[in-house]
Amino acid sequence: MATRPLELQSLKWPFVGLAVLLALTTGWAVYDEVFPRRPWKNYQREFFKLDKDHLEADRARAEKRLEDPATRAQLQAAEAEHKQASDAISGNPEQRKAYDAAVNADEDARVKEAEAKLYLGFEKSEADAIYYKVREARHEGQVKEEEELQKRFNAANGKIEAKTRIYNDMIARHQQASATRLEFVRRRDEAQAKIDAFRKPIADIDKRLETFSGLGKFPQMEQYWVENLKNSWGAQTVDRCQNCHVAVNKGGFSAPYEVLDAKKANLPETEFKAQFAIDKEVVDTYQSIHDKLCEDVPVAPAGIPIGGAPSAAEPAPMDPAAATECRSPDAWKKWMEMAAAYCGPDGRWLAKTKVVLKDKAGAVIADPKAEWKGMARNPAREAMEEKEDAPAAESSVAQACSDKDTVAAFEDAAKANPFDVKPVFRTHPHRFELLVKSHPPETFGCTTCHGGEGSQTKGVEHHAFRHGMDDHDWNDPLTDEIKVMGRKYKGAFMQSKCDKCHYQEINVTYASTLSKGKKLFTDVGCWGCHPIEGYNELPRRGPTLLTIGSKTTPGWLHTWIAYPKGWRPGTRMPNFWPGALQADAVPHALDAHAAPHPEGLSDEQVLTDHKKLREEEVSAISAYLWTKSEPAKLFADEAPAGDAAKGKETFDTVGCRACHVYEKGSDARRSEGSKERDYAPNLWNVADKAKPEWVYSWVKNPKAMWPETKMPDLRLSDAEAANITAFLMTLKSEDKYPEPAGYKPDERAQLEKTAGTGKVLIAKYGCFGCHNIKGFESAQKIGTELTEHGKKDANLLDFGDVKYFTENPKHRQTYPNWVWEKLHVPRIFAYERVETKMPQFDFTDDEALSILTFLKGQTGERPIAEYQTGQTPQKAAVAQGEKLVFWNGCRQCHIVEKRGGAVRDQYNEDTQSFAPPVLTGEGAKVQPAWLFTFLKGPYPLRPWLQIRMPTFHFNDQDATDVVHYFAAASSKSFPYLTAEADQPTGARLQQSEQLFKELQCINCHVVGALRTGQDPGSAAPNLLLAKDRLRPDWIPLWLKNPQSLLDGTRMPSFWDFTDEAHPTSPSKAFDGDARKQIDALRDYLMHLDIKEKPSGKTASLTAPHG
Amino acid sequence: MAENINPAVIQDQEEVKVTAGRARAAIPTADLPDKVHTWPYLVRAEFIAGCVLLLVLMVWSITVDAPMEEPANPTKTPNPSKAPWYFLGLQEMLVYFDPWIAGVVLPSLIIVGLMVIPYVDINPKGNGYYTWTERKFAIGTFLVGFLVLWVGMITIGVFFRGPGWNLFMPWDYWDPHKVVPLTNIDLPYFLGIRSEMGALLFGAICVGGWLIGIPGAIWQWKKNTPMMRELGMLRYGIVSNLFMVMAGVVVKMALRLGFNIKYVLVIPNILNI
Repeated sequence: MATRPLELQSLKWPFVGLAVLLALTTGWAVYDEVFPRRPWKNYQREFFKLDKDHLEADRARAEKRLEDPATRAQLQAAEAEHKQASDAISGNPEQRKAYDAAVNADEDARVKEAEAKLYLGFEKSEADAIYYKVREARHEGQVKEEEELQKRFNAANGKIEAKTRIYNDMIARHQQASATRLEFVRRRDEAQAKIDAFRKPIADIDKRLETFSGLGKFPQMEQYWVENLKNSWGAQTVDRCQNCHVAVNKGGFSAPYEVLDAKKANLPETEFKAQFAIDKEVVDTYQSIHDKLCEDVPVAPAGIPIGGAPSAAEPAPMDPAAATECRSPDAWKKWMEMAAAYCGPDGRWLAKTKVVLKDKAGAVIADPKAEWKGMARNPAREAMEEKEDAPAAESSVAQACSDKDTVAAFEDAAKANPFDVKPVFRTHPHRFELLVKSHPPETFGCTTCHGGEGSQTKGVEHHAFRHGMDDHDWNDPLTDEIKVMGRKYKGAFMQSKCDKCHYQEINVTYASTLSKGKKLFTDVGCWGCHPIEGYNELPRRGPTLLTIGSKTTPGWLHTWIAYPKGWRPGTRMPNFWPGALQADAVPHALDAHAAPHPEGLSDEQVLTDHKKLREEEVSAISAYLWTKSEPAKLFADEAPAGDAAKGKETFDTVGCRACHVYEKGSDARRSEGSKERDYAPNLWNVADKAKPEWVYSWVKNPKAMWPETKMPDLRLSDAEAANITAFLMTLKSEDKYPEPAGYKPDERAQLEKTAGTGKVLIAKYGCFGCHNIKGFESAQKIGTELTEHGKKDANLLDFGDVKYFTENPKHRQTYPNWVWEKLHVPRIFAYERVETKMPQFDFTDDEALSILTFLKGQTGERPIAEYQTGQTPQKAAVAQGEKLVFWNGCRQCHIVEKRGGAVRDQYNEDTQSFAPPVLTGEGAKVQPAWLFTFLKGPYPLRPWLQIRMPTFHFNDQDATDVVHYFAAASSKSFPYLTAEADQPTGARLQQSEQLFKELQCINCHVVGALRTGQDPGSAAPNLLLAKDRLRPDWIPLWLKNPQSLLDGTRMPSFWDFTDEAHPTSPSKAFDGDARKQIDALRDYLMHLDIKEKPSGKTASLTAPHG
Repeated sequence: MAENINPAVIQDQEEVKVTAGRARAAIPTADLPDKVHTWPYLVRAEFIAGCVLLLVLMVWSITVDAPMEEPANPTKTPNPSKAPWYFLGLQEMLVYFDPWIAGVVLPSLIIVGLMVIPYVDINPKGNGYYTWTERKFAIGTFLVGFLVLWVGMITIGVFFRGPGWNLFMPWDYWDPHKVVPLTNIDLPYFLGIRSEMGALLFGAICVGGWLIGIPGAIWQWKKNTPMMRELGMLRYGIVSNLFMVMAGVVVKMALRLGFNIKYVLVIPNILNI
């Protein structure tokens, strides 16, 4: 039958159906809005439960502690006492008899006191009335009546006196009665307080638990809205991260290793409580589990050497034969998780070192740990060979085995583990230092440092929530973890973000990778070719080539330019012809793939071509440098003859060794930015290179030969310089450096011609970025501007023909990958049309990561001034000073503000006192004016030391900055101060002198000169210098407790200040008053006569520069 | 409603009531009236359609989220910079025409053309019912103009244009570095005309011939047919011109895609077609 037309159909059911569906959908929409769209509510609910559980557990523990028999007994005693005391007040009539009597007596006394007061008042009133009449009679001139009345008035006064006595008596009685009564109350209250003390922790917890009672806590939206801090696209920062990361700025949810670290650092009790809010018993449990899971990391030495403390030797891996006890991969994963929480990222996890992993077949799974020993490498190629998508080793683990005891310990730990805080609920690491003290989230937000989308609280399109990276990549992605060439690096880019505000600081606390990157970038001289704000004004990094002809030979010049690392592996100078090195021919070399590799050419052909090219180019460049070289202004045309043995001794003792070594292959003096690069040249083969007359002039005053050199002037005498020259001339290798063709005098014309090509090549390679070269004084830097490099989009970067990147551009063509590859193999992205000129630095992964971190931070974004660091003169001075300290290598000799002191490895326990002084807290110690003078012209403070403070030829500004740095680092005034101390006279002077003798100061300290027969090794600083040198307020601090100012000093402390209020003294002077004695000594020292003035000598200052 | 009851309506309604009642299942459809009233017969059907639409939209909005894109950043121009999807047809035209033509003239003509339809449409058929055979020209023109040109160009713009506004297949990787040959050339130059004047003349003849010459010739040829007579010269002129402009867009696209022709008529700094 034909269907009926719509007009004739009843549409009742479609309407009903639709109505139902619409109603359901509306309900669905409401549900969707309330639940799936607000997943953070679930996190909050979960956290509330966790918080409550913790509180209840703490409460249970506190109650249990009360169960302890001793505590119990004390509490019971207190309770019994309280009961008795209460009974005595409010018990049955029999019990409170005494109290009632006291109350009655008190009341009685009160009534009597009032009565006495009343009658006293009456008497006074009477007397006043009589006195009125006396005055009246006087005014009316009735003398007689006045006398009469006067008598009455006197009598009335007598009565007042009597009543006053009675009144005072009554007051005293009342007070006594009250005290008797209150004694009962006091007894009860004291008992109550005792009980409260036991119950207080529980009461506190109960108070916090109250918020959970009834309907409990409701989730609610929280946000940090920071108006002044713009995010990456210039809008106000609005961060809602804490809706899920509820405890991020709350104490009590830190990972155990942090709690244990704080405990180890002896954090004060109150601070510990505020930051970690963790029950003591839990901390003890943490400790016991930590001991089971982690191996102790050896203690770092006191003075942290340059480049950070050396990592302690890795423990030996587990012997597979001993690993008899095996567990499932799940158990192993649990162990690893616990190790992460209990040992921390820097700890040593026994789950790694003491466990052998086996796959299904029972074979041991080897740890695929690649080791790179400073070799240049090609990450793209390695990644291709490694096959990124090969299953992770972890997934093939079938068994985790170890010895019986270890496994038992792990299992015990797993059972006892009280730590149940998921990562999302953990307190921010180092919260107190990083958040509370310096970056409160209310002022800084979260995304400022972490990146990501702060206001988004849910994933979109049913993706899991990825902090803003859903769907499209957020332009400011989360910095938590970066992936570089398939490897993950945690937190590196977070440090990049520090540079937004901390750009003036070369050492940024908690950002070691960034700090290293900055130093390496500065040290290796990237800014020679790349313009970058803040680094453009630095003096050129490489030695001047204006006088190269006076320094070396053409043969050496050839060898050097062709491959600097071949001649000196620790050099900063890069290799400009990386394609010309055969992988197996020279150490630290790269294969032919380091350069563009045209199709159809064999590796050998490429190599041959590149070698030929290198020969030509090196010849041309050398020719230019040689022909343009001018004779250097030498101190002597020929080095005077010297004694090499004596020279060696001088070299070893005078301080050269702080920066230089002369053992082949030694890595004892590396740069602060990298463990791969020498701080100063290794001199083992220096005679191959330098002419003796040059060396002589150079060591006499380096800055006269090259004004921008970092090498300071050690004020060597002519004889010393000659001896050192003689010694250095013995340092040579077997190598020969034949003079290349074209350098004979009659071939000059041809050489000049080749030099023309050389000039073009120097312009091309940008040699003038690091060296002073004639004809390039005002040449522009040749590299890419790096000031805003960090925000470069990946599609603005050319990935060339590198297959690894071109075959999967979407995932592999990323900013970190490009920088990483470029740093490792700078020429890799070249092809027929694009020539790359960046030379090969042979960066290791560590170095590349630090530079990548630094570069990523160069976004050109600067928040408003108040967010930037260095806003106070003090902070600015510290930042500027750190740069100068770094640039001038102060830390090669001194421990400056707790770091440095490389040269100390030349001294042993016994000779420590011959080492350069520790400069931690120097600003609190010395007067700025003295320090300025000293820096400008150092003179021996302890003439018996062999090592010398060199003359740096600081200019006034730099010297001022250094002095300001020390003052600021110790929070001291700068620059001028009155060195005030009372002139001791008369008896005080005598007593002071007496004390000075009694304490035998001059047993160690020198006054003027060494005593005859005094061992210089035990000598302490000359006390005559105190007057001009020391801050008067420092001396008492020093005398009080030398150890606290300088750990390990041999200065004894004579006074015992353990009890601050009553210090004790070994001397009877000044009535044995320790403080008076110390003050007297200070005044005595500040006025000690100067009998002779020490004098210093310094070589000529022709070109001072700091 | 009760105030302005139309007796005819009541009558019609009653008529339907009889036929639409419960017992009228047997009434043959042939007996039904030719027409029925909008209310309630059309409105209730439309209401159902409206409800279904509402339902679909609600379910859609719950299950599919709007994509999160990166925030607008004045320092970073996205590549490709795409207009909202409904404007991508216009943006696509910019590939083939001078901005003045693609951005001003053609969009204005689209609006003007739609506005004049009631005044130039002299075909009385097809009112109130669907017909293809009786309105071939009107419907055909609309389908070409809307589906092929407008929707087609939006499709190209949405799915086939990538970085640098280059053509990409939907499955291609959007390589921002893709290089396409830039070999576009003006038509007169392509045909060997090198003098500027010659090129100008040739271009003017082509464009003039297309917009005026061809319609004029057809007018001369067919002006005595009844349809042309009824249409009249003015209306014919408007319709033919609008039609030729639309067809011209297709021709120009073909010339550009097939022969890399840039412009036909070039008057420097004034007009490029």
